[in-house]
Amino acid sequence: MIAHLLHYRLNCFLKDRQMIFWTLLFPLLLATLFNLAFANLSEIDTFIEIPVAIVNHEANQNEALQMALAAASGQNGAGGLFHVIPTDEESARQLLSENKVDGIIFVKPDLHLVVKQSGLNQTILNSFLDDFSQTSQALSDIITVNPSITFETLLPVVQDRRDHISAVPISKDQLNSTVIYFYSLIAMTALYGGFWGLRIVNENQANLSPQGARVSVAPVHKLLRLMVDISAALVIQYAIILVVIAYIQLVLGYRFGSQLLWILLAALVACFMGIAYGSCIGAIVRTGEGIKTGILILSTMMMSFLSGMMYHGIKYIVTTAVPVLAFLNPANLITDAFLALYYDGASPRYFTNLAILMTFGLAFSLLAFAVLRRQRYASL
Amino acid sequence: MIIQVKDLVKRYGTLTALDHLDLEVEEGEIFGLLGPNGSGKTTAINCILSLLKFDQGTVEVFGKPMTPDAYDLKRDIGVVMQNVAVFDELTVQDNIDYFCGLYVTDRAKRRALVDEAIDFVGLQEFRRFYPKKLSGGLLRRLNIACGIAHKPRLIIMDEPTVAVDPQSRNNILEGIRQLNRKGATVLYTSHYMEEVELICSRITILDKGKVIAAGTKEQLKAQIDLGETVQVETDDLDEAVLALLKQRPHVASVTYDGAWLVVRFARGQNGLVDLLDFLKSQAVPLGRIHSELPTLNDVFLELTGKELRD
Repeated sequence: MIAHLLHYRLNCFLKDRQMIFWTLLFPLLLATLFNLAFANLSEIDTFIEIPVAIVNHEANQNEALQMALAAASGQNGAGGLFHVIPTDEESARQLLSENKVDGIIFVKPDLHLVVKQSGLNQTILNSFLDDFSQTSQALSDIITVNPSITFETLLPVVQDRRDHISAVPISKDQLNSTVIYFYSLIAMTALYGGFWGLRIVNENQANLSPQGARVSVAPVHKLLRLMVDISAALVIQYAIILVVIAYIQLVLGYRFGSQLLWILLAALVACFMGIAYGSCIGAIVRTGEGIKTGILILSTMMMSFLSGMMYHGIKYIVTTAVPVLAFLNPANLITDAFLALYYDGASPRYFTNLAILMTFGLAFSLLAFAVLRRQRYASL
Repeated sequence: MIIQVKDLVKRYGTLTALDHLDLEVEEGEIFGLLGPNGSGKTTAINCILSLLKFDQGTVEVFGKPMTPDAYDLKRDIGVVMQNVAVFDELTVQDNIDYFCGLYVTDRAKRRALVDEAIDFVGLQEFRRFYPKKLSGGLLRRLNIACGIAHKPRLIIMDEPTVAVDPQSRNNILEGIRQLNRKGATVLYTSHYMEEVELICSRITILDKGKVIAAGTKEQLKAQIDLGETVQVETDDLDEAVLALLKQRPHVASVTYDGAWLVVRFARGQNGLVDLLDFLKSQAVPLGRIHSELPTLNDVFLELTGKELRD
């Protein structure tokens, strides 16, 4: 019986084009639009090596400068501070005039930099050369005062620079900051599982649909029917979430880092919560199907907004000003679970969010069933 | 007794939808529940099926109290709802299989039952069609197939022919008779008196939730004063003949407008042959002749003062 019900409910749900559009195609469309909108954001954050020309025959005469430039340049494909182009003076000036380099380093008569315009790259170049000049001068002064010290003995001391402030990575993974927007998109997709919940209630209640009346007079317990329907919806909604995540990762190229399994767990709990939420609305709201759908969409969008989907600052405002609301907002809990993974991995914060989501899901389910278990109606 | 309803009362606020309804449906019959829209037919069905709460009374099916979780009783009941209750995403065959599967778990047996139901309603060519591709009549047939595929002992049909073309209606009515011949007891509701008259062995007429008449169609017609109505075209009829006619047995009323003589007989009596013999004996020239037997609408009209279709 269960296999029979499950087979046909999966069949029905999979062929529901309208539902598949809203739960699958719409999030994919939004993901694509997000990708277009946010594509340049990460490029802006990416540091590009500063191209600089150095007049070749002069550089060869300054071994220390050559070593410093080599250290600051990318090696073996790894990104560095500078992209150094050794050339002659005429070519160097040509490159500068064509904006192919941001500056030219001259060693003689003294170390100096020629730039065409002022800017961040030019400032970095200037700072580098200033630092080099000061260090060179300091070494020269030390050797002059104490001739027993050789350049070779001083060099390791100079190169041994110690940082007294250490940088701690925000995450174990090298995550793209725009992935946060996709977390909220996944949260919204999970909550759209509520549409399945609405349909399930509608098709199991004799006072809501002819199909509900027909299955209500059949010798199958309502709880069994509801459990099978919710299971079918969960399978489909979870598959949809996996497709959305795969699309974002494999097609759009956004990596979710090494926390994928935990993200999948969060998505599963979120799907259950979404379906339960829709079921609850379907069961307790005594009005037409259109209005119930409207309530579901409106509340989902409101929850998504308050969790930072449209304006990321609102999440911080709500969390600090009305923390209770942040805990009562399932969309916020879903995105927060993803953010917890991003910042701290599978941390207590992550599990707390999941536990609250699961509690909400169970509460919504129980509330829905408390209403739906009524087997005789006052009117049809 | 297949269905026994006693003293059933259902109120919607101040409106009494069922007013002390009593019904008894016997095994093997096609029982008709006739009444205009809003008379309480569907409410009665929903109470019998334990979908609706009621304020008073008892409902027994197969001799046992009908409750929402009486699954052993539900297993032997097939229901054809007034509204088409199928899933748009499933084909004709899958819809029947799904609903049949709520009653029959054995897959091989179910396959045979589904095939039989498809043949029965004549949807062989439409097995793979989705409901949206079916006409209204075919959709109604699918609705019936979904309700009867599991071969129930009791079939409850709530106005299954609403908005159906005449050809499909005839097919459906013939199908119901076939089901009955195969042993199913049928409770059939309609506001079409012709259908009920055609297929039902016993009839209960409802109005405003009350039973206003019950019995076989002959018994119902015998309850009213009206019998056969005969219209005879004649242009030569004098007062003396009219006076003699009015004195004849079972003649309830006589009217003549100079062209048509209308004679109504009383208490379900048929008097066409007797009338024609009389007019012939009086040498009255005859033209066209029409005879109308009383219908259930006449019964309803006489008992309530309004038409069934009102």
